[in-house]
Amino acid sequence: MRHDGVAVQRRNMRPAPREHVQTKEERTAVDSQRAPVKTLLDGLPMFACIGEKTLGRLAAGSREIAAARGAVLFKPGDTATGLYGVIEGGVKLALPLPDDGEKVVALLGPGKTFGESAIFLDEPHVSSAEAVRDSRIIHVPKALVLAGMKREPGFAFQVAAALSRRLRELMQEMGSAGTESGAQRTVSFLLGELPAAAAGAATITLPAKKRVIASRLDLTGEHFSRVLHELATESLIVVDGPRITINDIQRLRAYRQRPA
Amino acid sequence: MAKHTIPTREFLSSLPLFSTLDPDAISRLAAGMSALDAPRGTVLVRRGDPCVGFHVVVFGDVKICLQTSRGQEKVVDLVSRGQTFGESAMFLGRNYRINAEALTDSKLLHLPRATVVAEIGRDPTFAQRMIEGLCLRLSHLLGDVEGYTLRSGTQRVSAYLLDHLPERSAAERPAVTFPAQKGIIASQLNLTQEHFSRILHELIIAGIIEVRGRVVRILNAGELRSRSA
Repeated sequence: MRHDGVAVQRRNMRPAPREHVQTKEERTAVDSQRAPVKTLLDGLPMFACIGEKTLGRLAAGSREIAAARGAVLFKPGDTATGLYGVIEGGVKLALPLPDDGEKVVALLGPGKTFGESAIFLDEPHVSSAEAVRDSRIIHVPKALVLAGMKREPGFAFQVAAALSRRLRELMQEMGSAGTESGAQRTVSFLLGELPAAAAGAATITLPAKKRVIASRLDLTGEHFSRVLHELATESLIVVDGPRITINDIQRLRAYRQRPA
Repeated sequence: MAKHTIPTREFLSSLPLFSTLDPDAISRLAAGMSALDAPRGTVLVRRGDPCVGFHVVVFGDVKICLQTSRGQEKVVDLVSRGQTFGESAMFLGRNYRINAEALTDSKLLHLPRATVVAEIGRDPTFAQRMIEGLCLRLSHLLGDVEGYTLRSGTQRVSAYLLDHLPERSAAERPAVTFPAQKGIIASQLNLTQEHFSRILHELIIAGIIEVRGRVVRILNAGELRSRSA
């Protein structure tokens, strides 16, 4: 009964009281949600094929970072200290522009890694990394990454594959800049967010605010909104806040091919 | 496209990718390689082809293009002596997304995926060299993205000319030779050919460069530098 009372009380109070003292049960619940670093690492595709022992060594030196929305993980010019993996939330990588502007070059959701390039080239970061929503990030120090690659060629291969994927995406972007319409770039982006096996209809959640995605696509915020509106008018998509339902993936693919 | 099996070990050791490898490793890689002669115009790789390895250019020039969704061609890279292409499709085990075509009579080596995988398993430093190569490409591409986002056409052309100056150019008026036709360089700089010609023309009028065919002589490097910023 008392427990019910507490629950009601908490529902009525907004925002939730910070000084609320946790019961033992609640603490246990929180602790069990917080997986050990090793489990978190294991959940990232890049580390999936690593042997138990190497994974243990990597995990022992890695740390979890709670990055609130807007938290900056590194800035251009910062020394590269290691590799980052997104456990939860989302991170944008951006190049600085004059007059406080920026060009978003990647939006990374759970499972993605970043910061590799600066480690291997032994150069300062060229982009910034900022959490676009409340995120949990894991940081693996540079020396451990390099040692892990020496011990396990399969891991080295995964690192190479992750970099290759980034290269492909950037290449694709260079190919579409200046030659594809805003609508085509938007459609390409939406299709790229779909899970690999998606067919028919599917719903995706935009990985960041629309303004950030617009910058990623080299569009103004207004232009991006207009494009979404047009796609919705043609009943290709349904927009509900950050959730976008694609009514027919094949039709959307066909839309990308048609002349602007 | 004749195939030979005479990759030169000296050539391999001279490349950054292979320079840290011991002679045995070089021999193992060389044994898996095949050489191909690609006369000008040869299509080496077509979008959609399965990727079974990567290429190293021994001599010549290769144009790397993407096809846009409307069928246009966009040059994303020009690869010449000692440079490589195709690693990203190889590491991902996916089909090529690019077209590669020899712009001049060229010679290439093809290194199959299986040989690369075996060597990575044997020698971690080889893995690291390959990864460094990918990172360099990535940082170069980021620079290109920054370039077309941030800089005007004149800035991009000026920066391109400065980047392509011969390394030890003691010459008072150094020359840059375009590795390909102007249309291809324009595409690489994300400019239309007309826009590119107009910019070159402006630089000529300002007495900054002199253009003869593919050779651009830099008359006033200081002014070119200030226009690139």
